[in-house]
Amino acid sequence: MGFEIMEEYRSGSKVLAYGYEAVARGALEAGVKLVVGYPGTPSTGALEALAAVADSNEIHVEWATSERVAMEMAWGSAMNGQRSMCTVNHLGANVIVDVMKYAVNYGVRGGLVLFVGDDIGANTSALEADSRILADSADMPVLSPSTADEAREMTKYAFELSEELGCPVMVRSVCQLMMGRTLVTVGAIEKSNNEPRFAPSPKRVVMYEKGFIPAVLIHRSMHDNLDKANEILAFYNKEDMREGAKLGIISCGVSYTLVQDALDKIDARDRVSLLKLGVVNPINENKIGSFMEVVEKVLVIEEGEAFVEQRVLSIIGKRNLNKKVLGRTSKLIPYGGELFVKDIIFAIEIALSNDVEIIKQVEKKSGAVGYLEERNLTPCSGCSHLGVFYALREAMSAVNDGNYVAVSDAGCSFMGILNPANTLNSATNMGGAISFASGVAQSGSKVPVLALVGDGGFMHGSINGLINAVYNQAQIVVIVLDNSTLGNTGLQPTACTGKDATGKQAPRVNIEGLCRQLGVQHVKRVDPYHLVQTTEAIKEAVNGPKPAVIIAEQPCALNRMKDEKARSAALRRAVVVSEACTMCGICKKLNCPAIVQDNYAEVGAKGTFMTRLDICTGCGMCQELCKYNAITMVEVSK
Amino acid sequence: MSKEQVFNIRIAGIGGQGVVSLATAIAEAATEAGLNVTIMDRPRSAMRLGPITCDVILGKEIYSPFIVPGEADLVIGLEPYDGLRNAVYLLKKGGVILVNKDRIPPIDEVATGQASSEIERLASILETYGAEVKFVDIPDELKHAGFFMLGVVCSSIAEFPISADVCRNQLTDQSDNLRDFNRGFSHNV
Repeated sequence: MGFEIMEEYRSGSKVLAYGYEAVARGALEAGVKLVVGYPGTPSTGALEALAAVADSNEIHVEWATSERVAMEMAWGSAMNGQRSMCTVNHLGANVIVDVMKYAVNYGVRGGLVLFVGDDIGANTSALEADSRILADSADMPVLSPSTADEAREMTKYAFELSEELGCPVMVRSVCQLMMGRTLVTVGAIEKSNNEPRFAPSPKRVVMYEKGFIPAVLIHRSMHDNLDKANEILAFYNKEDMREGAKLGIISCGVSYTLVQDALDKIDARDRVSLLKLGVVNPINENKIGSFMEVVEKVLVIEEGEAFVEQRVLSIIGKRNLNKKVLGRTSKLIPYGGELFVKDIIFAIEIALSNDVEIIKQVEKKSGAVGYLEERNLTPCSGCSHLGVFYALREAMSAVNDGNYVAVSDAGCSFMGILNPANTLNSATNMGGAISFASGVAQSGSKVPVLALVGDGGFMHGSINGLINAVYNQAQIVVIVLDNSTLGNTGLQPTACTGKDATGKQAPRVNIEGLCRQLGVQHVKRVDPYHLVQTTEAIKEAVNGPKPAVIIAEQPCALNRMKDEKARSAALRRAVVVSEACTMCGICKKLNCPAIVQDNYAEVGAKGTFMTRLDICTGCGMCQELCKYNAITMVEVSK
Repeated sequence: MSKEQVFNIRIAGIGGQGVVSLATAIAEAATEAGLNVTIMDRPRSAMRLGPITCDVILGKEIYSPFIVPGEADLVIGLEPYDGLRNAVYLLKKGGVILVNKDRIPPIDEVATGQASSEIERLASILETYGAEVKFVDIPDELKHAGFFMLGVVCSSIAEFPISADVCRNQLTDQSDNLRDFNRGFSHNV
């Protein structure tokens, strides 16, 4: 994939680009030297864009095995005097809070920018979260861009700010900005001439000189730092005051653009004064205070939690102002989910009116849009995980009356808890499945306990859980779904892929060898496309000594198809011989979306099965299952 | 289209159908035609067979890249159910929806073998509402249904603010796409 914006050298020209590309461009313009991240929507693309131009700009770019590793590396590099960036999403930010706090306390020398993309609305994530709160808990400044242009500019400036303050700076954005494309104006690329030299941060010298770590003193200086940041950053907060307006709206980030659209649509520009906050931590008390002096009530519109709103409320309390604050805390705007223009119009109309009847009418109007069911999440055809899920159900039906507990990491293995696979009982956080399963087993489980982890999850945090399981002899069976990639976030490489972030050859970490060296009681490698072999291996592991590890090794079907298309002229596909098909339905137990009924489109009709040649990947699992030889493999030209 | 107006397009389909590339092609043609443009991608979790939508807004001054419900001028459904589902709450009165006839069943329908009857119901809701629902029969052998649809858009929608020639110029370096576009352009709906 090309990233046009990364290769535009004429400062001032406009390029159609994603928000995350604008962030990457900002880092490139600031002369970033090291970029490490962990994939997660909507932050993933920023690192990919930088990886695409890493060699030509002499930047070190890598996908780390976990967010924590990424942030630790970026911090080390910043202490080495180089401008560095760590890219994660909101779930990743949760993982690195520990490092954030240390980095803020011990300081940095080169600029360290933490780019966090929050998937508010959980569009592609298991849950939503607001990372600004994490930055607040670590006393870290947060910049919040409203447009892609601002994202580029703020990211670039964040490096400078980080060096000025001697502490890392967070640039926080959300899907609505990062996954949208607009015309972005680019600036000049500055090359960094910093020599790599390790030294403590000049702002924290006291820590090393005194011969002890005066943690309390440093904590106090952090707050002085935030006050200083407030002064430096005042220019990022902009107001648009309207004469005689009784309502004030305080907004930040992408919500600000939605507020402008909403005001235009209901023709209310002249009735509302606006305050846009480009900096959300520290909050500018004076600015907000003086803004509230001139309006009667304030509506706060932001993505995520009531982060700014809580601070506005505390300023009101401190200054003893008699003003009404509307937003999430007053139940006008719901917690959870993204805000769209219609939600904001609804909030503004209520805030502008004191008439109860009008409020009722607005409420009625917003209910007009009914809810239509979304398409179910569907696994990819030929996914090797489908083979493991099938084998697991088969193996467990033979023991213990089919009762078992199986949990998975986050990622594609998550598909196992959904309809119609219904194979797993629960999913956990990334890297959490093995420890979770150990907890189930150690607290006394009457049924076998299994943990399913991908290769990405195994390298992320599950390996820790496995060490603990071996040490404390947890009676669990681990199945590693090794598809050599992080599929769910868009096929990023893992430590088992053999490629690095820039596409160059890299060593492959050997999961089997690792497990054996750890002292796992039973280790077996299987091909999940061979269903009988996999079923037998699971039965054996469940009945044998534990902890046991089964490694189901088969590349992700999407990557396999890409390779096959590049390599060979003809592709293998499964077809159903309709005369032989008895409609027994065993092939459908795989839940592969390539297997459908031939007259599917007619409601209520029944017919033989067929395969969809356009999405079949020729894995051969259905052929192995069919007892009537009704599925054969054919070669088709691509 | 006057300079203050905007033209809102939502493209809906399934991962792998080329929703994003169609949006990109429209956006590039719009830039070429001197229009301001924003695009908003909405992928859902599954890599390939999950639902995905793209909002493309063409016009002078654009703040938010989302189409407000009831304000879409055109909905392009590369998958019929997803197209209609989006159109029901997005399309303006008198708006147009172009729908690919080919249904891609989601996994739960595949599992039960029962096709959903929602398509007819949604299409009739839209027609009662005053929308123009056009089903398009896209030839099976096409590589890219999206560019065929773009051809249909250029030939059948008078309000579409980009001319067919500008679109063609954007596709010249990929001959397959240009061929699909031209076939769509001469297709009767």
